[in-house]
Amino acid sequence: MTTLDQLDRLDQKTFLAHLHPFSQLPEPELERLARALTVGHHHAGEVLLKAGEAPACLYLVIDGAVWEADDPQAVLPRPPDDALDALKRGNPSLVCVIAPYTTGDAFDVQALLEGTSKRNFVVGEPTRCYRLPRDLFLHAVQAHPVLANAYQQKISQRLAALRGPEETEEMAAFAVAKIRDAYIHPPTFVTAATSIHETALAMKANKTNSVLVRCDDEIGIVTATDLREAAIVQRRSVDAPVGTLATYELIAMAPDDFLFNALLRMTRHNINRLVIREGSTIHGILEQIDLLSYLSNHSHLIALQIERAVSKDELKWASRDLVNMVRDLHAQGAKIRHIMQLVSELNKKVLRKLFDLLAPPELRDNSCLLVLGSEGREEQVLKTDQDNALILRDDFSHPDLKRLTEEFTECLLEFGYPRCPGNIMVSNPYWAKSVAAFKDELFEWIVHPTRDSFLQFAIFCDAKAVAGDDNLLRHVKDRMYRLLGDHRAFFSQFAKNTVAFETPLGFFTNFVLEKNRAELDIKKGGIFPIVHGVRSLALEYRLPQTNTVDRITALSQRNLFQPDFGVELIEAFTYLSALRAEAGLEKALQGLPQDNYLNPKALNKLKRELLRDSFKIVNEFKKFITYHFKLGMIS
Amino acid sequence: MRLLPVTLATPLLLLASSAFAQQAAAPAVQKTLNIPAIVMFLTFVAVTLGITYWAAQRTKTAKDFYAAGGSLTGLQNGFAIAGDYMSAASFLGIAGLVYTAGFDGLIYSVGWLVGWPLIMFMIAEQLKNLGKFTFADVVTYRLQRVPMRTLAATGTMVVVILYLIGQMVGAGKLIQTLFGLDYTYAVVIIGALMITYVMFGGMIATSWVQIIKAGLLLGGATLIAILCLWHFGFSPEEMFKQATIVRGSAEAPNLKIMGPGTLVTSPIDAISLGMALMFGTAGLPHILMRFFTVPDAKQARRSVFYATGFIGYFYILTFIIGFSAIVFITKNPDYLDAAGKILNGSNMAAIHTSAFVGGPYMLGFISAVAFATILAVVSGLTLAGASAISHDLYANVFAHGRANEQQEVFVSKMSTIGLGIIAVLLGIAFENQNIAFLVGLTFAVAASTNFPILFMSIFWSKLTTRGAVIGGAIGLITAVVLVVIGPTVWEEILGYPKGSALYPSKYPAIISVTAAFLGIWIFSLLDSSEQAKREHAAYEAQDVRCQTGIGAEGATSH
Amino acid sequence: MVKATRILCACVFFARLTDHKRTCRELAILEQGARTVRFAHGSRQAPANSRYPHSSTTHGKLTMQQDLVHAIKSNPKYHELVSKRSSFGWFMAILMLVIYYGFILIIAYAPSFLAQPVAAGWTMTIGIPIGVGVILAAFALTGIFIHRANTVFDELSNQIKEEVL
Repeated sequence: MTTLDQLDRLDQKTFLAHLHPFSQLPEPELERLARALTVGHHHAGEVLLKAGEAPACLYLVIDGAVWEADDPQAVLPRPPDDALDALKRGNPSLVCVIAPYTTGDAFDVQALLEGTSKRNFVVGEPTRCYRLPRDLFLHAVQAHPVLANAYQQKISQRLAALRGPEETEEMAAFAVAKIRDAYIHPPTFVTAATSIHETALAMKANKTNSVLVRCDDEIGIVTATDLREAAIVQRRSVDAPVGTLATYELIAMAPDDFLFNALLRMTRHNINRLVIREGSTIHGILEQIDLLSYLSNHSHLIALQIERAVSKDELKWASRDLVNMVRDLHAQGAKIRHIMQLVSELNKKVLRKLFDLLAPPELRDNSCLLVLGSEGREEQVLKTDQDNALILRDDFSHPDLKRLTEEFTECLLEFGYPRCPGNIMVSNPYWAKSVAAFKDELFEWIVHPTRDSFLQFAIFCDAKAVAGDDNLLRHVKDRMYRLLGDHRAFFSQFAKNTVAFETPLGFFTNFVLEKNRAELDIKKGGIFPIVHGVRSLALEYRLPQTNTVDRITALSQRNLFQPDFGVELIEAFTYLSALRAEAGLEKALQGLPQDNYLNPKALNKLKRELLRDSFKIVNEFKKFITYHFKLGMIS
Repeated sequence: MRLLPVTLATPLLLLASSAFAQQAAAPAVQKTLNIPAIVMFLTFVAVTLGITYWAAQRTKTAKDFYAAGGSLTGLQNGFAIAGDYMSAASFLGIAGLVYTAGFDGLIYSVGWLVGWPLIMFMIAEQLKNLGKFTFADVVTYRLQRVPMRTLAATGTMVVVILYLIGQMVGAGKLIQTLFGLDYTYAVVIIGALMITYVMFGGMIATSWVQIIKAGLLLGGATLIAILCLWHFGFSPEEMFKQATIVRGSAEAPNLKIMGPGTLVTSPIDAISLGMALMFGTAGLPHILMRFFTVPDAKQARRSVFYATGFIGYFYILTFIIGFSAIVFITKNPDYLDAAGKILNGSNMAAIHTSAFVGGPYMLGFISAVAFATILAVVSGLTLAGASAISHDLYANVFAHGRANEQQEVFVSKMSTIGLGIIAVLLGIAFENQNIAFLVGLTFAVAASTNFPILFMSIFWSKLTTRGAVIGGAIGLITAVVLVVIGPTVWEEILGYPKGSALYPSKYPAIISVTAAFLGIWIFSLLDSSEQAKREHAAYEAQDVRCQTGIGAEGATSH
Repeated sequence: MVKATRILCACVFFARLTDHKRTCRELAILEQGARTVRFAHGSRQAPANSRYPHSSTTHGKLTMQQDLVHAIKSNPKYHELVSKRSSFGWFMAILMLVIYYGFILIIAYAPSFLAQPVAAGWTMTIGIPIGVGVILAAFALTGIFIHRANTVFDELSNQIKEEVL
């Protein structure tokens, strides 16, 4: 054995030792597997594994990129976000691309476990892979539960990719959702002696399709179908006891089990409902219809809960669910932009409902509740700080206003929306005042701008009406545009903050990290410049949109950018937002405080390159803003 | 900004190494290389850039996302305005003029300063209320886009190029004096440096560059002036006395330098020069912007007040330095060439004086400050010029308003390079001209083209596009032609015999400004087109907006 | 040789300028023509200057503008502001011009006045304090104007804005 070989071995072992879940293997097993690895060099276009073929080994990507696809011909060397976007937009030429495999990724575990591959694996760019022989891998999986467990999860996630593109997100969320996340009907009990007629009445009263039947020590289930069968098909008397109709071999599951297991169970037993029990307590019944509705649109359920809430407490529960939903959706790779919109939409519903619950009708008719800042732009992922305001009709006053607004803020706090550190909340009288007072404020902001007023003005620019009379906001905004006119000087001063922070890219497009920490600030470096620059342009062009992506789309039609630049800017913005959200959620899971820092070294190669490209676009955009607002000359 | 140190270091090193190479190749021709001064110079240029970087960075690392907006106070912006205005011309040129002509140098100082209050009293409020940044944006408010932008851009470019020449000559001479480099090489290197600075430094906070530069310039000039006066026991009278003795003799002191007449010989010249200096300021493309640096109107006005103070103070300092130069340099063989003339021309009088009173370190320091000044002024000017080309000419005229703005960004970059090259070529051609005089010419052109149109468009409702275009063109062409057929270009640059100049005076403003106003007036009145009527009608809205800042966007925008 | 280069430089410079101007002028005419044609054909393409397409028609915009202009012009404070500020501005400007041109005209027509010593036996001439005096006057006048503008005029114009907008 030569020294070179030893070095290689060492390399291979290190590589494997850093790879999840191999890293959890005991030392000798790691050594054994590392010894079996061989290196393969593959050029773009090579098909490593064909659909229907039995895989001979597990590929571990050292560098390069491999695509998982339906049709090997359609694979193009494009960044994965494009491909995902193409999925979204239904671009048929790219729909076949499912996922890229880059440094540190392994494929295809599922094919190895199942014996045949369902998809093609095509080399997208020159790639080096380690190969681990099939038998060794399968043996290792059997011998080490760590691997088995890890891969089982992976497969469940991969399930999502196997469905059609539209279902991807929700299916993915579904894959890790627990039964308790879905709507469980509270159980309705009858005795075995209860007549069919009474049972039917009980079902009607409880709006359910099934009841549980107590018969001695056993519990059985009777469904509406059973009753129909008995009464109409078999022509039994409606006064006959229901006990004989029930099925007593209940198929039950624990509330902590996965929802998709419930679906599997239902499918396997060809049944429409499951009893959910924990030990001897019966929680209720999971109907297939509810499971499917959870599946088809999880958010819809929350929305419904919010709509139906008749008390603060119910609303609180509904809004709690929101956090779970975000976590699930995000963990499963749903498009961040859609999560943002969904969350904003639901947050707005919560706010509207709470306002309806708290505010007396005369207040509702004479005021307008606004969400501001990122909430107004619909760009928040988690429940962010409360940024809201209330516009009151001129000459309208409510004796209880102070108490009501304070209660509003307190409730939101209880729901899990933290206080705004800048105190931009309805409970602050500065942000809850009449149309005339807001107009005066705008006058000050625009005519005598100061550092603070730019901040307030920027937040106000993104205001969106949530509840009450939105005409009030329109009046105030009209006044704002009248005051602004086309005063280039104000716009330029306002836009100046776009270039206030350096893009963390160095001379050789290397990442520039913050002092004292190995991370970069993705908000200051990328997101804020895009948001603020786009906001400044939107203000100048009087765009009614508040969402950054919508604004960019609208601006693209104004002959400002090169044809492709608008699209690129949207991509960069979405990608940066996604990275930030990921990092944020990661930190939330670890119980760390939320910030906007991100360690680029923790990203895989492809993601790092995308981050670099996004920052380049940010730089390009800053140059544009500098030119457009003549910042080079006035700052 | 992060690129700046790297990109700037390269040409500077080039400069240093070529200086040494030159020294090795031709030791007999050049004077001994002043190593301490060069070290000091390079250090200080580096320090200046460092401070600028730090200052820009300071605002950038602020926690607050909105810290950068509106953070300039009136005083800071006052410094920034002064920094924009106190170009190398003011410092090197006026001191040089005082050195050659004595009292007459004061005419320039006074004229330049008086431009400020006049802008303030007459048009600053209106411009600020109109909310337009550039000359072209102002005049297209109610006049036609294409012809007005063409004219405005042309005028702006001529002004920018002329102004650039002055800065190039100053920087070239400075580098020549300090490094013993050939003037041509010096100018080429500066051109390259200037292009790099503007191209890569575009993102830095220009205001901070100007503020720091103004601070250094004021500090440096104060230091030299104090050191100079210290030589005369802090008695100006003593300084004047010795100056007259040096230029004459102890028995018969030369009193001519104490009164007018050496530089400006005829009454017409005096009035003409005064007109150019006074009205030119309003026509400078990069000065107009300064009213918009501070968003709050009160602070903006205050900043003009501070700026006037700084500039006035600075001119008094240069006057002292100039007179001291007469005493220290005139008969000092260290600073004279073989023919007994001041080494590298009168523009270097202030630099030589700093060496005399403060030694090589002072020389290095002052050169560095002057150099940084030139770089900063040049960057502002080039930006204004490049934007005139990309926005006014390219986007609005050549591309018929159909180009997207990103293409403009590209064109503006290319224009920067183009302007750099033109400035280098003309800088070489105008090597031996006094910088203050060159800047005076710039002001003459600005006063003859931009100012009359600007003034009339704000105050005269009957102004029409046709009148403005023809009148402005008359002003521009008259000024340029009179400069070419005047003694400076005709005799000194083109080399025709003395006295053969077709226009006898060096100062064209009195004729060209009058011609421009008359042209605008006559051709506007003669214009009875439909377009003219619409333009008359649009004046009311414009006037209301000028007075209050309220109202319509104007007939055209962008 | 050097001289030849310089002449060339200057020629190229001015030739460029004039040439440039001519091209621009021609293009201007072309552009006007093109615009007329576009409009005449009722093309849907918006003219390059209409920035806010959603702000209804040009006609509507004009009326709105005229209403605003009318509202401002009928506000007595507007007239107070305009008359106060222009008269004060012009007064100050003329004062400045008188001071400066006084100085220039003395230089032009009575240079000997400035060349006389400030006192017998002195070298310093009275021209020097006068010159410095003009600089100081400019500074002082600016200060006065700004003080008034920042108090009286600003207050008035803010009141107008509050009332009209």
